[in-house]
Amino acid sequence: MEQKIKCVVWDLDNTLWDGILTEGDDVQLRDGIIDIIKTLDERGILQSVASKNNFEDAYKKLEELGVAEYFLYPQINWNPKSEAVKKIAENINLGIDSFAFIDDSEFEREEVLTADKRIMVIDACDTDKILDDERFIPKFITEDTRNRRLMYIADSKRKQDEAEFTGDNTEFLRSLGMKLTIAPVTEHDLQRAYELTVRTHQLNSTGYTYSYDELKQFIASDNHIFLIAQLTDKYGDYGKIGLILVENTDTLRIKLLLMSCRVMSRGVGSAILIYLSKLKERLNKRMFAEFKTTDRNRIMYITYKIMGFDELEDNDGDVLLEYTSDGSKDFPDYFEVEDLTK
Amino acid sequence: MTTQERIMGFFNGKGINDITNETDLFKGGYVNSLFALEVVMFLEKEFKIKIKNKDITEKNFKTINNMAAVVEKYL
Repeated sequence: MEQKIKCVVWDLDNTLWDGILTEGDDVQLRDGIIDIIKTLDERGILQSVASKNNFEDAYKKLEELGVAEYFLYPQINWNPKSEAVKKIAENINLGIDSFAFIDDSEFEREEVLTADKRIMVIDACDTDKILDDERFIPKFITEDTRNRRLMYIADSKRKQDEAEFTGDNTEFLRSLGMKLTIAPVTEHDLQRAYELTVRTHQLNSTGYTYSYDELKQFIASDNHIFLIAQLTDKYGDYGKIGLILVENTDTLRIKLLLMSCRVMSRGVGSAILIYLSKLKERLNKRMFAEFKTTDRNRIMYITYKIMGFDELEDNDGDVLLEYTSDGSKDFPDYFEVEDLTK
Repeated sequence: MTTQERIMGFFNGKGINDITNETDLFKGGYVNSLFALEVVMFLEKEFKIKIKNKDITEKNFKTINNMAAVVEKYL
């Protein structure tokens, strides 16, 4: 299956709008463009701009046309467009293989494609076809999908403040006023739960994926504890960002522990394991965790280990861990934790 | 420079200055998963070692002295 498009980068002159701004044209959005922008946004596909123009003039025009807010990290300057695309990808932390670039100029399309073959390039005259293209149709549209742009905007503000923050990381985390909510998965969350299992690779302990129906069965199962975590802070909502599946029989066995990369470095993984250590104490059972080693998820292994899990066995990367630390730990003071499972 | 000093240098570089070789880094909330990963990667690079999974434990990363003891096993 071809990678779904997660970000569309627009050229401006004769692509987003008719005419050339620097030549004094009274430019207007091309026919149908506003619908495309809005539809992509509702599908959770991010958008940006790569245009050779004067930044102030072009950005002012985007504001006048009422579309500026849709574009994250717009690159309006005289540098090669391949660099603009690269910069956008770095800022929103997505791979180039999930990018599409729309430009009326064959030269620009070639330049971008030559720099990185994995990008999808589209001639501006084919713009009206993209909404029906499979690659632009996400599998699911959840509440988090629709809010994705707003979450990225909040995140860009956060990143800026983090870069400017002087002091250690713990102080920074305290300044965020984070609230972590842990709740049982409901039917309403299932699409998001599914989305998390297929989209998350780095912060994922096992990478197990389940069908929608399997996930649905875990909700009703007496032998499973199935939880979803949501994080907010003073900048806004990160959405539903964590998923936990625990087999609950005569022992507890953590089958799945995953978090969205957007909360990397927020300490959510540790907080969830502290939560589970309290659950273990309450239920008075032994607690195990399955872990599948990949070339990307070492951080999850480390999370388990430093939170008091010991490795029992390792069969070619299939690891079994057990929580052996004494008692349970306390949540770090930079989190307010709300437990909605009781 | 001692092993401890080199590790302390890493923490200082992260803006963490009010600790000693014996400070419990978990209690102080200094160590979360990402930070622990950074510490492991720093130790591996700085001392040109590969830390085995069995040595990545809560106890071994609790204090700078404990980390130094692990590192010195590999040297």
